[in-house]
Amino acid sequence: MNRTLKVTKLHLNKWENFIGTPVIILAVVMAITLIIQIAIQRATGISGTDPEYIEGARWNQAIMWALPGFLVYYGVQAVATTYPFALALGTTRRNFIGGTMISNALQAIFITVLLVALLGIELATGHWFIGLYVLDVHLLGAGNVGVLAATSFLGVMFCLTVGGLFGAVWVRFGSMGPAFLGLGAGLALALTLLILAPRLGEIFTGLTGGAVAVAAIVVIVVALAGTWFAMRRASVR
Amino acid sequence: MTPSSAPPAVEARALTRRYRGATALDGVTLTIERDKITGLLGRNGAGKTTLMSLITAQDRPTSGSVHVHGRDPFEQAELIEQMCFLRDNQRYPDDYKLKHAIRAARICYPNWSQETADRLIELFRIPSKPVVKKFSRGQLSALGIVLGLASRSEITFFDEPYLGLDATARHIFYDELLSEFTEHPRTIVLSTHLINEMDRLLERVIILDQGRVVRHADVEELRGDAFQVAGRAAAVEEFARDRRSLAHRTIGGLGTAVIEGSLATDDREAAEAASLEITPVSLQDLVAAYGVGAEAAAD
Repeated sequence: MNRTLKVTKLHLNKWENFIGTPVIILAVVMAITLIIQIAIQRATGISGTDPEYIEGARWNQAIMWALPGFLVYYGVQAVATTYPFALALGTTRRNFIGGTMISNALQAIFITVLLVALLGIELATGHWFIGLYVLDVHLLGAGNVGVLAATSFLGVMFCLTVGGLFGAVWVRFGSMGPAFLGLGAGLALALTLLILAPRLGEIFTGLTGGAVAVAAIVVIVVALAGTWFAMRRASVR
Repeated sequence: MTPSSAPPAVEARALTRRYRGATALDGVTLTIERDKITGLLGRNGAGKTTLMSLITAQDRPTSGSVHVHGRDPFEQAELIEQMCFLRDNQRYPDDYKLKHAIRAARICYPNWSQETADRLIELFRIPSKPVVKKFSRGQLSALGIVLGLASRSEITFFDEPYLGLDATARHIFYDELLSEFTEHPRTIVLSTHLINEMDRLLERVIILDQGRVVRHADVEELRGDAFQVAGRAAAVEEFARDRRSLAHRTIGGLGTAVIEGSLATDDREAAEAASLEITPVSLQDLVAAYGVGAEAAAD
């Protein structure tokens, strides 16, 4: 376990990225959301407590899309560029994969705690004193801490593990690996869509948060398994 | 287990590595002895880096075996963490600075010496502000040397550690390597083309060519196993005809030849009779004569 934790510490070595970058991204998104929502209120003359405004503001998805780009990149580089260095420093593939998973989980916990704290402040301040809806939005549970925490944790793990899988495939198979993986995944999605097309309406209306969570968990597990199979014989050249 | 019965540091048997039709190593059988400095010599593409990759389990052989301290190192954490191998083109994580690389090494190497690292960083003048990706070739090499020496790993590999280093920095490396080796003996393997500069460091030498071991011996034994004759081209050719000539050069009417084998009395007499001069062969010239390091010898 100690050797696995060494890899986790290796991932946390650049804590400026691990902690600082998500905080900066969230701060920028909140600032931009603030500006946009104030602009809307001023342009329409609508009050921040107006039910019509609140309903519209609660569909704000800025926070949901703020972090995935960084997290997928972080997942890719955690494997693709840290792996060769980790091998040079005397780690095994098994310990690397285990340590990376722990690091991913810590990142997910950190961001979840951050978002839950921000939601708490948002609710306690009456939506930042001016009717600003950033975390108290429908897609994150509309103020439900449990839904926000679950969505955040699974969402971050999803991005990190999918990114890690692409990184692992690149390490193992070179530059064509991610291209084939992406094409394969796209083809699989397209075929699934084709097969389910007649029932799509029914599927979407019956979609629950629990079903989405289960789907995310399945993808996370598949990505982790794929990372393991790609990495266990991956060489560095 | 007594020291004399301890397995060698590294043992390879018929080690082969193929990549998509190209053979990087072809049936390599060798041992690397504990607590000695072994030079890994060979032309570009001879298989030096591939060999080091296989020993440190960063890559897997196509066939054959490699053992470290008597065991297959693949996925054996207690063996792998005792080895340090930073490549000449080592990739570092994005946006790493010097402090990140040093901290990472401190986390991972169980015998890490921060005092040695700090001293070497100052000696090599490695900058702390720019990211490692922006380092010059020499600064990257210096970083690799710092990590390798300060790791105090039981088996330490240096892959062409001199690349980009100025003459002063190279001599700092040689002196620090010998000093560290004397105070903390360990097995060191270093690949080099600057054979003349480094031969005072080397105790044993492995010469690779096209993925195969050409010679594998103590440096003194290797030097004693060849001699050079020089004189009139025709006389040199006549002398070399009945002997195993490793290399033969002619410029105008003059020629030289490197002859394999120790210098016997009748060789000396035959050379004297033909007015040929006999000289010892430097390690650089011997390696070049074996068909490796020819470009380095010309430089």
